[in-house]
Parts: sequence; structure tokens; C-alpha cells
Amino acid sequence: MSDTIIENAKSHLRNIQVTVVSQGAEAIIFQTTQHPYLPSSISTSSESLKFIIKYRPPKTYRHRTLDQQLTKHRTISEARILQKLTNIAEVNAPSLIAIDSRNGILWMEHIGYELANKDISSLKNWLWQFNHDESKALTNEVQDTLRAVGRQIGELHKNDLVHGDLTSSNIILSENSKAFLIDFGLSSQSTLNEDKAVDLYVLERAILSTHPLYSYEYNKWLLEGYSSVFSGKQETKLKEILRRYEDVRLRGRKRSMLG
Amino acid sequence: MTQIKFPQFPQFINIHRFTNVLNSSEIKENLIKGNKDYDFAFINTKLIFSQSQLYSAIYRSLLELNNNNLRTKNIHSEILFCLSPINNIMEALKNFGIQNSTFDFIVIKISDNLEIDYNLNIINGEEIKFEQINNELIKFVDLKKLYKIYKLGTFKEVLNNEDILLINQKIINSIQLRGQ
Amino acid sequence: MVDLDRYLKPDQKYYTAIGLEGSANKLAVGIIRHFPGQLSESNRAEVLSNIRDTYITPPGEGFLPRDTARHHRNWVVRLIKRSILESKIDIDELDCICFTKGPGMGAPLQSVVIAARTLSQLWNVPLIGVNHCIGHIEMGREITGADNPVVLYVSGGNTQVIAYSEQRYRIFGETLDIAIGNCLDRFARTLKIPNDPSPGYNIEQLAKKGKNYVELPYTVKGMDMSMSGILAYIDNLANDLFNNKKNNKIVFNEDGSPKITVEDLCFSLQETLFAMLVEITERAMAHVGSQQVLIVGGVGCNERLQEMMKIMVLDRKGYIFATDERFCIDNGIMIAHAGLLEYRMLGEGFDLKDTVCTQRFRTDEVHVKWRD
Repeated sequence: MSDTIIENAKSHLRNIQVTVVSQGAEAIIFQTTQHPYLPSSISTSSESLKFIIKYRPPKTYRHRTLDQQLTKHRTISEARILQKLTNIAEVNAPSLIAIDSRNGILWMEHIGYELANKDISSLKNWLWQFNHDESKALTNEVQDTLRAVGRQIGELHKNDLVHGDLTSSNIILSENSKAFLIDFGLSSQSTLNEDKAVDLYVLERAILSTHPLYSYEYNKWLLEGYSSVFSGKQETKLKEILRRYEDVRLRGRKRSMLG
Repeated sequence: MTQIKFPQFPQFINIHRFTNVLNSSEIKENLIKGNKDYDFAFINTKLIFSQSQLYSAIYRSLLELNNNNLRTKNIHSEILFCLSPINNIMEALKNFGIQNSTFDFIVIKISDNLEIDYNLNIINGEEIKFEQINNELIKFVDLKKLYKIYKLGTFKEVLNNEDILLINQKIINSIQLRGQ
Repeated sequence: MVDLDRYLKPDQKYYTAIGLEGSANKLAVGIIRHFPGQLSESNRAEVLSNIRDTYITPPGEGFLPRDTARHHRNWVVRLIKRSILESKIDIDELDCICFTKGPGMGAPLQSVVIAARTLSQLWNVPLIGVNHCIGHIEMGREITGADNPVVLYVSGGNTQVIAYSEQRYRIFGETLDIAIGNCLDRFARTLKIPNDPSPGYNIEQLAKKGKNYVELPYTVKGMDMSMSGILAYIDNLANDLFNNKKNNKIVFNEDGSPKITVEDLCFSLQETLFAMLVEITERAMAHVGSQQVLIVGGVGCNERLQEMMKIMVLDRKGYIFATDERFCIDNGIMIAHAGLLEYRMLGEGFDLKDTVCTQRFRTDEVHVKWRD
């Protein structure tokens, strides 16, 4: 699979040197040091010399027309979410650089830094560093970081946006400890408490599976941060979301079957 | 003149800067007539806030060109169309193109060749250096109009670095997403 | 390794079970034989009998619970007798009588369970209630040899993507409203095409002749999908086509001639629905890290679905497994097989009071004792 798809991608990214970061079911993530339209001496933000290219390859099992429509639509939807997030000061998300919707390509700002073990500074990897050392796993720094992450999710939900795939790999920490949400490929606008609750539940399960020893504290701190952004009149909204969250946790997943 | 090239596309982008132009109305008339000697993009400086704004619009228009998906007559009109957040070519020309009273503008020629095989004698004005740096570009910008056209929110006269970055990002978003 | 023979009697050479299925419009009986030891390549279950009778309604009509139950009551004794004759077993050889406990339609399920209970008391053979979906999954695994696949279970009543984990078949993705078979069946009713041999089969044949792709809504939401919107939309197109609503520019040209045919609609519906299924299956594969896909359930017989799934799976360098219509359409042998696996772990049957059937019975409610 990989080779033809990467060749395909490269045909739309002529003269751009790319390295593969990851390959999901729907898209491949590349990294490059080349900006699509700015000369190499200048960059828009302070330091970033790296950029992310998200490529949605064609799916040959789909009818060609359907496939082209889906690729285009999803690329644009994701870019629109990034645009919305630019306008929400409280949420940290990558900036959009360029979009080639017909070919399923999205260029974005690169977020994060390299941890000591060379992994990217996702929440998952960052917490993993302390997994084997209780004295490091439950420090104030960890608590503050998780609360910050919780606040990010809270602000997202407060603005009636849901992430759709909120695992700890989709949360990136910057060098100055800011929490960023990334990968909005499954995101959408939603006022439904169910959708927000499922966002929280997915993250809870992700933390539980990768950091079982401290997941209780970690999830507690996440929720503390999350709840803190719903102040005053928003408290009823928060209560409803949390109540739904409890429901989702109890039933594990969804509705009973209809037979 | 400044010549640039984007890695992905074969075309060369030649950027000229003119000031003290006396015959804008004549240029505009010829553009409307479709006179072949006027095959350039004439962009007034009032709404060009940054290098990334201009270059991202050129990028988008070259992308459409290379995908065989031009929405306007030619690549030059396409650049103007791409700069505009409104999906209407007439509005784009009105806001970003030249008017009778335009004395300062940027001229862009997209060429397949490295060498300059055209001249700009049709312009009765003074060619100066195209300063790519944002500090220079911003001097000519009608900020209030920029805010209005790109719907940037509450007008802020004095901008700090953070403001500039945010405005830039909002403009890039508009340019990349318009008409998608 | 789970010990499947802890209740094997000293001189017992094999296990034998009869399975009764009737959760929808197919009434089926199957008789299966297991030999001691783990089921494997060299120790496959033996199908001694596998017969079925389908209640088929006239074109444009769906099957109602009351009439379906009547059909099942009329046929069950006949089928059981025929099955036993065909299998050549002695009734004393039966270790258990397995029946579909659920999920499914109430009245039809009831008819069958009453037959099961009656036989159990007549012959003094223990009863085992089986989850219909588990039946499909276990039979699919046995027939194809797929040891730990992501399972796509698609039928008239169910649409789920399932993966095994820690003694449960966990649901990774599913329909948010109707099942895909139901969607296809209802469209078949709109088109008034025959229900013989099945509406889905007839849609498939029409689709093969379709040429124009008509754009339909595409509704995958994360790991789940919804279909009621697509059905409403395509029903509308079909009705406009039949009623000559010339102002529908998707259906008619400017000059009033139709742009699309019934075949095009069937084709487009399949392409869209199946693409959605393949997408959520691929998501599950990526999530779980699996390289195998098994398709079970009546809609699994569809060749286009199998073809599309195969393309996706091969692209990922994986393996695809599917069964033929003997096993993907509801059958009794799958009930016998899954039931017998459960029986071998329990050593006894259900109490009569536990043999009540239930319309709602989630796949992940079953504790899969017979696997690690």
C-alpha cells in the first residue's frame, strides 16, 4: 500500500522533500522544511522551520466520483475547522498554510518538539516519560499540564465544536507548555451533549490504556481544567455534558441493538 | 524587480513595483478591452498587508492553473480573484485592481521563462524596488478597508506583533478557503 | 488454551447439536458435529445438515412479524424431521438443542423457541440459547479459518463492525439508525421488485446494469454510519422518476427525458452504502491493528461488497474472508455451532426460565467463554 500512495502524494508535491510522520486509515502525514510559497529566509511565525502536509489518498475501492467528492469535501471541512479555530483565541490549534482540495492536500503549521527519546511531544509521549517513576508522574507540572489540556477541550466544546478523535496522540505540547489540539479530520460543529461526552470518553479510555497506573489522577485533572472554563451561566451546560458523560461511561458505547 | 518561484510549480513570478503612476485610467481601459499588451496583474497597494497574503494568493492561482481549474480568463486575473475574500470577480477587480486614482501598484507577470521577455513601457510611472518586508508593505495599506474587506473584526489602529500575526492568518485562511 | 472438553464423557467420541434459527423471515435447521479437542485446520466441525425455508412476500411488501411467525410454525416440524433424516443421526446422539435467543423479531423468535423447548422436553435434551450475531461470527470463523479478524456483520437487522477482545466480541462501529439490509430491502419495496430469492439479491442484479453514478448523501460519523437519510433521499428520487416529476433536474433532462434509470439508482445506492461499510471497517482495522477482515450476514453475499472490501484489504496487505450463501444468509448450523461451543463450556443446558427470547441482545453482552 504505502509505496504507490507515497508516489501519488509526491506527484502532487513536486520538488518538495517530505518524510513520512504517520499513516492512518484515511490520511498520511508528511513533514517538510519547505514552505509552499514563502522564501526560505522568511517565515510567518517566530521559529517554525517545519511544516506538516496531510494527504488524503484516493481510495480505489470507491467509485471515482464519490471518492473525489469525499476527498475534496473532507479536506475543505478540516481546513474550515482550522479557520474557525483561528478566530477562537482561547483554543490553540495549528495554522492553515495552504490547501489543494482537489488532491486532498492540507499544509499546516508544525506543532511540538522532540522529546529526549526523539518522539514528538504528544501528551501520550510526554506522559509516557514518567510512566515508570511515580515521583515524576504526579508532579505539579503534570497536574498543570493536564489541567491546561482540559481547558483546551472545554473551550472547544464551549464553542460547540467537537474533536471527534480525541486520543492523547492528538494533543501536542509546545516547548513553553502550551497544549495544542491537532488532527481535526473527524471534527464537526455540534451542540449535542452526546458528541461532547464521547470526546471526553475517548480521551479517558486513551489515557486509561496507555497510563493505567495514574489514569485516575490524570482524568481528574483533565476534568478539573475542562470544568473551569464553564463559569457562571455556563454551569448548567457543563452539568448536562458531564451527566451525559456518565451515561456514555456506563454503557461503554451505544444504543441497544434493534435486532 | 523581484523574481520568485514556488517549488511545486514551473512558472516564474516576476514582481514589479510602481509609484507616481500618471496613466492608471488608460491602463484600466485597456485591461477592460482585453488588450494583449496588458497581460499582467495590476494590484493596488492599499490592501496588500503582507508578503504571505500576496504570495498565498499567487500560490492558489498557480495551483488552479496547474490543476486546469482557472475560474477567470487568465492567470493574472486569477491572482486578483484569489486575493479577494468575496467570490465575485468584479468585486475582486474593484477592490484589489487599479482604479483611475491609483498611483501606487504592484505588477505581476507570470512567465514560463526565466528571462524577461516583456516590457512595462505601457506604464507611465516610476519603477522602484519591491520591498517584500511587511514593515514596508504596511505603510501603503488602508487598514480600515482591509478590516472591512476581510472581515477582521473590531478595528484596531495600532498593531503589535501578535495582532499582525493574527490578521495575517485570518487573511491567509480567507484566501485559501474562498470558493472551495 | 481454553479446555473445550472438560465435560466430555469417558466414552464420548463426538458432540452433536441441532440448531434452530428464525429471528427474521428465514426458518432454518442445522445439525453439526464437533470432535474433541480444539477446533483447527485438522479438526474442523462437520456439517451434517443445513436446510432452510424463506418466507417470501409479494413485491412491494415487507414481512410482518405475525405472518412470519405463522410461516415458521407451519414449517418447523417439517424442517426438523427432514434435517434429522438427512443427517442420519439418532436422537440419542444429540448433546443439546440450540435456538436463537435473540436479537430479532419477537413473534418469529417465539415460534421457534417454543419448538425448541418442546423438543427439549420430549427428548430430554438440554437447551442452549444463542445470540444470532455470535452464531454468524463463530460460523464465519470456522468455515473460513480466520482466527482473529475484524468482523463486518451486515444483514437485514444488523450492521456492526466487531473485534474480539478478552472474551467479548466488542462493537467498534455500527449503524446509528437502520441496518443496511433493511435499507436495501425498503428500497426494493419502493421499486416494487420481487422478493424472490431476496430483495437484496435483486437489487444487486439491477445494480450490475447501472451505468450512471448518482450523487447520494454520504454519512459516516467517526466509526459509525447512518443510512436513514440516504434511504429517504433515494426513495424520493425513485418516486420522482416513477411519477414523472420533470422539475427534478437530477432525474430528468431539460427536454423531459429521464437522466437516470432504476439500475443507476441501485448501482449508486450500493456504491455509497458499501463504501461507507468499507471505510468504517478500515478504521477498525487501523485502530485494532488487525490484518484480517471477515464478512458475515446476509448482505455479505453481495459480490460488489466483497470486491470493494477485497480492494481495501489488499491495499493494506491484509486478508479477506467471506462465506457463501449457505452460511452468510441466516442458517441453523451457525446456531448449532455457537450453541455447541457454549454447551461444551457449561456442561449443561439453560434452565427453562432462561430460555426466554429477546428482541434486543447486543453482541458484546455475551461472555465468550470458549476463547482465550
